[in-house]
Amino acid sequence: MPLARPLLGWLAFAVVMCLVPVFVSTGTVRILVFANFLAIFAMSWDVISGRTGYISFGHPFLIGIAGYTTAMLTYHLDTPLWLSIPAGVFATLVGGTLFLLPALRIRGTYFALVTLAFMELMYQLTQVIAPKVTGGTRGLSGIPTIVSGAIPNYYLTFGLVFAIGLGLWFVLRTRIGAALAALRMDEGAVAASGLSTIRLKLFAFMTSAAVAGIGGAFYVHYLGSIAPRGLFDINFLFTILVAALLGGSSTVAGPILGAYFLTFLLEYLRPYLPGPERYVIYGMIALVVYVLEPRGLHAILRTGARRLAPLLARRRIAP
Amino acid sequence: MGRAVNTLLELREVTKRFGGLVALDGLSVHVDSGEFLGLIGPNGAGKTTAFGVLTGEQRPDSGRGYFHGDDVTRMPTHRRVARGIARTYQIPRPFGEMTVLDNVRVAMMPDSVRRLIAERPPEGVDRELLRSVGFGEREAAMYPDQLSMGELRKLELARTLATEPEVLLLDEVFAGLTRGEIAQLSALLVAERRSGMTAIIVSHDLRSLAPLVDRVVVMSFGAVIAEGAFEEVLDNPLVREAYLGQA
Amino acid sequence: MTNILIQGLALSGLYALVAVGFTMIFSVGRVLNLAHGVFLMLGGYAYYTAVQVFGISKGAGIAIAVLAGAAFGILTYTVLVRRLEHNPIAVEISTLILAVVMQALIVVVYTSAPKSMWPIVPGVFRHEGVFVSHNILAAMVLSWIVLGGLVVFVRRTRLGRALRAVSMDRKGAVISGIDPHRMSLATWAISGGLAALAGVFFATYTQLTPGMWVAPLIIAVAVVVVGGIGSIVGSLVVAHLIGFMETVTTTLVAAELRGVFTMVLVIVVLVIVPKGLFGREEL
Ligand SMILES: Nc1ncnc2c1ncn2[C@@H]1O[C@H](COP(=O)(O)OP(=O)(O)O)[C@@H](O)[C@H]1O
Ligand SMILES: [Mg+2]
Repeated sequence: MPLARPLLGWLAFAVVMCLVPVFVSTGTVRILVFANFLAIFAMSWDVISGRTGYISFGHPFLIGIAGYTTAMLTYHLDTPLWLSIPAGVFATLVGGTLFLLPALRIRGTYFALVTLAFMELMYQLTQVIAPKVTGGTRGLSGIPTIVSGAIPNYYLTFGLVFAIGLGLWFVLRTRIGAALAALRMDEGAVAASGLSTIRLKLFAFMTSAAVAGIGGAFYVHYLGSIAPRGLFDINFLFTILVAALLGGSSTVAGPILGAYFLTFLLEYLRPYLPGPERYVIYGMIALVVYVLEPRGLHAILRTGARRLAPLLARRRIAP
Repeated sequence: MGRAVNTLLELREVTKRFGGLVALDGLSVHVDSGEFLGLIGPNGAGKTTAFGVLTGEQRPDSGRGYFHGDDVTRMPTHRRVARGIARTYQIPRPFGEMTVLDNVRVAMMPDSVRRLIAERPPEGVDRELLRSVGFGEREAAMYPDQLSMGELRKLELARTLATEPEVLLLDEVFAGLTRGEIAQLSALLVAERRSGMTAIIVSHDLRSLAPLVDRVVVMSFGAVIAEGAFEEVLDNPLVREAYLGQA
Repeated sequence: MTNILIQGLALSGLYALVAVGFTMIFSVGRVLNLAHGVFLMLGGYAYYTAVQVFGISKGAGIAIAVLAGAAFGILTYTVLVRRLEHNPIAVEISTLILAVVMQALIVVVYTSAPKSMWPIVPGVFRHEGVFVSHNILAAMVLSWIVLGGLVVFVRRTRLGRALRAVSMDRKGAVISGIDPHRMSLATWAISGGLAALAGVFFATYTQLTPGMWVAPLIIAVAVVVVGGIGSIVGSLVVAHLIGFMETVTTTLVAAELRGVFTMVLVIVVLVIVPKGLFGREEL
């Protein structure tokens, strides 16, 4: 497979994104920080759900485990961040195994529902079990942040997006990517091809959990607070899922694209629709795109480019 | 020159129930190394289920399975495949959103996440395998929904061969094929047989099956009702009754 | 003790009403409607608008709510679900998106401020230290009537039998001349109406807010998952299991833990017996 072109694409992506803060307002940069987090969460979701077809309706559960772990460690024990963040990621890996257990027996709708139940359970548990430790319904605030100011946070989070994206891209373009795709299409036939479906799922779930954990931990140290409401929440899940699907699932660029698109859609609608109408339009657009092209913007751009390429080429020949 | 006959794959006294229905009723069958065995019987006799038990896709309620004399009853499917048991499906099950070439590549993958990531895929072997079943570059780039039933069965065969099997379990290999396709597939199987492969072939098309196999086993209601050479088995009154009773 | 019994029964009746439409849709179409909670919410807001804004009578308000729910069910099916029916996951995802869109729409129309609903049947039932609002008792009685009617409908009427046939064996039903799309349409209409009715009571039991759709969706999922997706009777039994479990937890253990046990039950059942305790997928 030729490497040069996609690597050039990644490079261009990095250059453009690094220059962005020079040209836009601080407000926009702050918005971009959220887009970066959303991109990380969407990439994580896609590794489980887009690739292997195990739809997770409980991704905030994974994100929240890392977030709460590092938040509690730093808040109560003054654990340094270099220790608490890895601890949070590790806890998420354990949480990922909890996802894997039902995935050994059930898939499709049933799996999606278990993950939803995990999220809902977490929502309840953080409020009632040891509220002194978790902060209960109000959560914890005053959690240390890593850097301050919009621009440093932007570069930090974009660095994460870039590193995770490139890492996932390098790994998933190998045969493991095809194996996971095969898992989505026919699990029985994968086993009949001599591959351990459990091992493949374990890989996908752990990778996804690690990414969710990194995102979740950094997210909490960006916000400086964490609370069950808004985190273990269907609306949050919705945003992650739509970002991945709208951008194009089963790709790495898709979820990133979807995250930026979604965030900016919301921002660009603001001047025209200052009120809550914005969310209706935004949801409608997501719905229409999903129903018309379930493979997302990534596929739309691809087909568009493929259709345009011959036209452009012809122009060049005969101007 | 007495060739040492050794049993390669075997089911002993296997019973498998689906709810109240007894799909396999104390079934015992075996295939010897280098042998081509025909497995026939009316619809619902339990042939496909027997394959499922042999590959580990179905757990028997009782009885055991042996491969090379080792008890493999509880061995998971992918490990049996790795050890050399490969099957095709009665209704082909290709990976629908992958090209023919990629389908075969999945079947060639090593069962190790590390190797899948770190190693480069072997070059050329995949296309060579496709050529061996009669697929050229054009077919390699096609998607399963563009293939005829004959091509799908060839793809299934290619996928089993990609796992470097010792024994092939072929379910209804000739179903849905034209005369020409049957001839092509038969030629491929004859070649495999010559090269020393072992196989169990399920087919309703007895005429096409006859020249391919050394021996046939007839199943009805989950048990063996006759076995031996083709002609004598077909003369067996029990067999006639089983087939006629079904029609 | 009596308190637990009455409260448990009442809550269970409400839960059964919440879940039954969700069950029907899965049973007939093999898809999950994650906008189910929104159907309830719409019912609640429709009733609120009719009765508390325009001052229409309560009975007419309920009728309007039910019609609105049924209409929205039909709309959801024809515009959205029908084109994705072959892919259950796509239906789930798109109905989830729809739910969020509707939530936003409710905010636009009614703002995000909670609205409190007047009880449909005012008053409180008092007996030897037992306090239960008439409202929730009414919900319970109504849900029994509706569910009883539904069972009769499914078993006795032509349409009901056809629905049942589709739920048991779609192909077979098609062969015998039943149009599965029309059956799905009917199911979505009925489900929408039932959900809206449940929503009127659910809203008086809790509050009317744009985010209120999540709780009943979770309840429907729990009831239906534990009962066996698609089984009406299973859902009924499990609605009582969960209703009583929550009542007992609330009164004897700790009110905050009521949801915890429900979710643990859902997870355990899905992992151990994925097909649910009653394991059927037909009506
Ligand atoms: N997964 C299953 N669930 C329930 N019954 C099954 C299942 N698989 C096969 N059966 C039943 O078991 C019997 C044997 O089926 P099968 O092995 O497919 O027969 P054959 O391949 O000989 O036609 C049939 O009656 C069939 O209906
Ligand atoms: Mg068969």
